[in-house]
Amino acid sequence: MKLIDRYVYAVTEHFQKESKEDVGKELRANIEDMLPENYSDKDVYQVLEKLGSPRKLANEYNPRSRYLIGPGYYDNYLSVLKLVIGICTIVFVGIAILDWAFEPPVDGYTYGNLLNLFIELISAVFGGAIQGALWVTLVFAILERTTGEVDQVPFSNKKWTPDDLPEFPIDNKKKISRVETVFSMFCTVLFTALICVKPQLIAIYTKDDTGGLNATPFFDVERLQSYMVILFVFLVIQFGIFIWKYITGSWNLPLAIVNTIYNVAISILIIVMLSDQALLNTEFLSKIMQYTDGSAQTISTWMNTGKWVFVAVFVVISIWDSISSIIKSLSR
Amino acid sequence: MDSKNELVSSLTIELKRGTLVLLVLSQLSTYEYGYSLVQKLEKKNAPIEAGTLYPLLRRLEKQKLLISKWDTSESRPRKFYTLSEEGKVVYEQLKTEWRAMSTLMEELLKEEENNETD
Repeated sequence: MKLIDRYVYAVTEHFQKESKEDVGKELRANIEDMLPENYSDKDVYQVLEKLGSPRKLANEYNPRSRYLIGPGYYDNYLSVLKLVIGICTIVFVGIAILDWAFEPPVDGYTYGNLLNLFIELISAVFGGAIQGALWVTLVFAILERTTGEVDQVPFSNKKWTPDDLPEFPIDNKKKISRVETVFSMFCTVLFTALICVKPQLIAIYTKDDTGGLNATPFFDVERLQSYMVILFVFLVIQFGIFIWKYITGSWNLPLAIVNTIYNVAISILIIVMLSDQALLNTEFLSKIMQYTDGSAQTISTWMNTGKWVFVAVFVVISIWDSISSIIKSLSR
Repeated sequence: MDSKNELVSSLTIELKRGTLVLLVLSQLSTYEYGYSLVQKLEKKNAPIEAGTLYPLLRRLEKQKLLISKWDTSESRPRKFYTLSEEGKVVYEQLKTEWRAMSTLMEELLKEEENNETD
């Protein structure tokens, strides 16, 4: 009896509540039907052996695909995974080294400190690899659930037709340079990693009286925390676009439109963030004042001009990128 | 030789798998429960694994080809299945498809055999 309970439980364990009870009851009745009268444990054993592994049976009851990344994207997933893990590892190791370069250990490079550096580098390698794998997997899992049937066009829910065949060789006007995509991926990872892991590295570096380096962070780190969630959302979308570019290799209209929407959104985000006075570390301002002998008034006008010049440059580049991608996608 | 036999048996299983639904539908003009259907098919020399049949019955019910009812009058409750109205229509259509297919296949195979003997 015990054995039957365990078997039925194992089969129906992950079923939804309504079907769980019914399937369990039916399966139990069927098993009992297969047993002779006054059955022994051995009879039960044989019947269950005949029915086979509970996982297989459960799968027969519920034959749907249960995978994170299906066959449609698997090859792409692997190649992007390798690429991004490589990028993330380099970025994380780079940040670890920068961190050491700007904040060298107080008591010099002793063996203990070098060992620490070594351990930090190793953990940076693993940390980078894990972060990269996590984000790529997340993006592909989303892709898999929103598109992804093998007989469909990637990144859409449209049935494949010969019109969807990529140009061969890819028309130079439409081509998305792989190097460029990889480079922008690298920059995004670097920027996001800096903002999220070590925002204090974005700083003004000054020498103090004893000749040591002194860093005054640009951002108010606590205030920056409140932007983390939205930054992560942007990171995931940005990565989705990168992966899309990397896989298709040429501009098409939907890609160009998504790219444009993203550019508008990130421009707005940048403007919002730079308008947020609390995001700027107040110490940073006073540090600059100290070193330039300017009045608070001039410094803040100067900072403001700098900010808006940055915004203007960013917006112009975004507009340029959007327009050129749309033109490229339409050219034939 | 062994691997060839394995291949043949796995291909045979695949051939049979395609006929499973038709096979099961054909036996359900009257109410049957899981194990009674296993026995019935065994007696007719068309054995089917219990572990395949039970889930299949449920899937066909979900597809509205079968209807079911619990019979609790006997010592142990059993779930009985039979063709639904929709199931009967589908069964007739599948039967036509099957006959056309098997006739065609038979013709093709015969033709091939005749060519060989020429």
